[in-house]
Amino acid sequence: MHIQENEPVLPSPGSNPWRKLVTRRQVLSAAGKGALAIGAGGALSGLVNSSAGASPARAAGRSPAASGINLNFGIEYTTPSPQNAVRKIVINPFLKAHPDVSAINYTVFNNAGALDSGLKLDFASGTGPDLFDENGPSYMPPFATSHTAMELDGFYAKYNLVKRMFPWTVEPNLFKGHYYAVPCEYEGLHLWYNVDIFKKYGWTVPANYDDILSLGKEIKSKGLMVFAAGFSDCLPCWEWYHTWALNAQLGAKGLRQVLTGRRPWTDPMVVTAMENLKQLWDLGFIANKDASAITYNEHWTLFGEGKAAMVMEGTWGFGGVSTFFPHINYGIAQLPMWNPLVETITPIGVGEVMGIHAATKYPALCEEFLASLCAPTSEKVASELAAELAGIYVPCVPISTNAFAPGSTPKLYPQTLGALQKAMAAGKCGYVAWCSWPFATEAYMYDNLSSMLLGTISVADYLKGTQAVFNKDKKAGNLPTCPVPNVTA
Amino acid sequence: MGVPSIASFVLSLFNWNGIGAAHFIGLQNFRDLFSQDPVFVGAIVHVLKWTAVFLTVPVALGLGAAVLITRINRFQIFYRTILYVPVTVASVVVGGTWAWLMDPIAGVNSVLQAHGLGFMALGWLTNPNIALYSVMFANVWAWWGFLCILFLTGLGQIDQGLYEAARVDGASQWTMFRRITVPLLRPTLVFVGLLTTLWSFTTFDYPYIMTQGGPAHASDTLATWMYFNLINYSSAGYASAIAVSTTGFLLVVIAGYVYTRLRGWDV
Repeated sequence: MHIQENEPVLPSPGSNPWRKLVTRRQVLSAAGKGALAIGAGGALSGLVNSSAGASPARAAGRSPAASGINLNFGIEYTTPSPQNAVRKIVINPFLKAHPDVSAINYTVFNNAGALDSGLKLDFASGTGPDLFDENGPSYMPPFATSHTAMELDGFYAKYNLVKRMFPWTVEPNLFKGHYYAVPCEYEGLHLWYNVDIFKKYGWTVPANYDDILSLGKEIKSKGLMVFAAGFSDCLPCWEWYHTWALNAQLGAKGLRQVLTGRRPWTDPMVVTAMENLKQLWDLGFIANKDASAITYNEHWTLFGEGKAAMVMEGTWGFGGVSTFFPHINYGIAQLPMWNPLVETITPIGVGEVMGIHAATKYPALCEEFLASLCAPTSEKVASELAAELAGIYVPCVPISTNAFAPGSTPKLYPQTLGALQKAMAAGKCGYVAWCSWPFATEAYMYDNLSSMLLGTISVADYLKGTQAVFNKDKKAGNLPTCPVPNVTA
Repeated sequence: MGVPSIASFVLSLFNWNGIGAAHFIGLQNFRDLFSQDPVFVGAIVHVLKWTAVFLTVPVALGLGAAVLITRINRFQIFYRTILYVPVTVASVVVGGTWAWLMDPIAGVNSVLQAHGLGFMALGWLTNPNIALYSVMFANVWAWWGFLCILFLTGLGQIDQGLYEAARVDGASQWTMFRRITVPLLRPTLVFVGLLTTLWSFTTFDYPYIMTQGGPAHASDTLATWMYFNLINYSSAGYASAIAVSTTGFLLVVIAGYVYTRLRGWDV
């Protein structure tokens, strides 16, 4: 299935100031991680780090409030444009409606890794922001079990979120029967392809595994890279590939059985998924086997300069491609399913969630702010957020076509969002690792995927190791809630 | 220094995800480390290789250059400065630059391929059998100038009269090097050896910057594995166990040094 430009969903808004090649799910930059390591050293050496989120060094955009309430909002985005966009669309109207609140200050963490660890350090030391961003539902159980994240059941009820938001994005936030986070962005994986190259050679977009094999050989024979991929600065990004493999081979039903522990990770179907993925790797289809030394930006460069025919990418990619390679004539299609016996699905997950610090003095204000950011009742606000913060904050509420200003979003972005909304509404969805895998299992899988692909461990050992970690996750009660898909297989 | 050290040891006895309650598990983290963690065992092998390389290659380069520079009368300061410049550059810059040079797309490989030398275009950072040595190469490049300066300082302490007397007695350059230079540089050599061993066991920056310990954990060191356990796995207790184990290894090295001193060896 191709995403068509004339697809009658989600037109387009203004330019996207968050456009950046480096997304949340990308690079844990060396400098940022280095800084985090220092903080980590503090944790290792004493469990004590009193600097916390409210420290002036981390605060950004703080306006000196003479009096009144100050809320601290922990985010991972360091550049001014996303901060300004949120300030413009959400914070300023919120402050206007609440004269008792003097300011909402950003507490900025350098990147996704720094966000998770920084929050833990802050909360462990008794400080931390009132509201905080996190990388997905998989990351929330530690905050729930430590009672540092506020239970949000009342919040969900008060703002009618279960009905207003897409169930596919809400349910993963259920942990042991309670909500501790609210989704604020959904994202799906697709196949991006270079339309000009495909036209030049008369290729068609692959629809199944055999198509990938035959097309891949064709592409390589022309001296092109089949799939651009680069994970040297983003270790967790390896998970995009096993996410694809497992969805494509097991389908939504089969994968859900694995994720809920009713089917083992050593199941023959899972083995086949990984063996097929390894075959693609061994054939050199994935970045000519160089993905571990290619950066995220380079993988876009390869695609943008026409050196790679395809790229497997999430919706967060819209920011980068439209900014750095506006000339690319790219197309977007459904990821090919590898198993003809399973129903076609799109892997969709929540990429960002918001929580409230249990120790905040202003829970009601925090809830109100979260509602305005994550589930705005105004479609105009929702569409502005979705447009200006593409791939960062996309409210998980329906947005109609007419809500967007035409011609101001990246090519195919509104249509892709529309397709994802349609898939979620129909329940034709698969699962993504950062949303539906338990935390430690997710880390083990992306950390060891390159070992499996390079053959330093076997597929069997890789999955045996995954099962062992999964068992620990399950025993600790860390399995995320997996929504039930509406598929036949 | 004592408090965080003790805290690290205590934490290594707990299962703790970095927040909330920590659960006491005794020595389980250490049992897991040494019996069930192939990456940890691999990291030990990597730091041993790292130590062996850094005890030889940069030491030989630094000592050789120092000896040569002492014989140069003109522009000696210039050469000293040139050799020391890489030491002054931040590791993130040096590591990042070498990673770029070894990049499979934009690095030297593209130049080699463009000139018909594609057979020399190796997977510097993508081949698990090569990656560790590529990272070592970058670190040696930045490091040996520092050793050269140390050796120059040591050589400056040697009485030149000894060399003159040896020359009068007809000693060759090699004989003078073996019989005068090396013995009198022994304190410097031992210091460099100790420093190199300590830093090798705790090396983090270059492997992290250039490969993040990959591919397939092929360039993981004890420090990078500790870091990834803390950050990626949120296993603060396990990461502490790695830190404590690293300290244990280094204590053995230090004990050996102390023992030799107690035995009367002048180091």
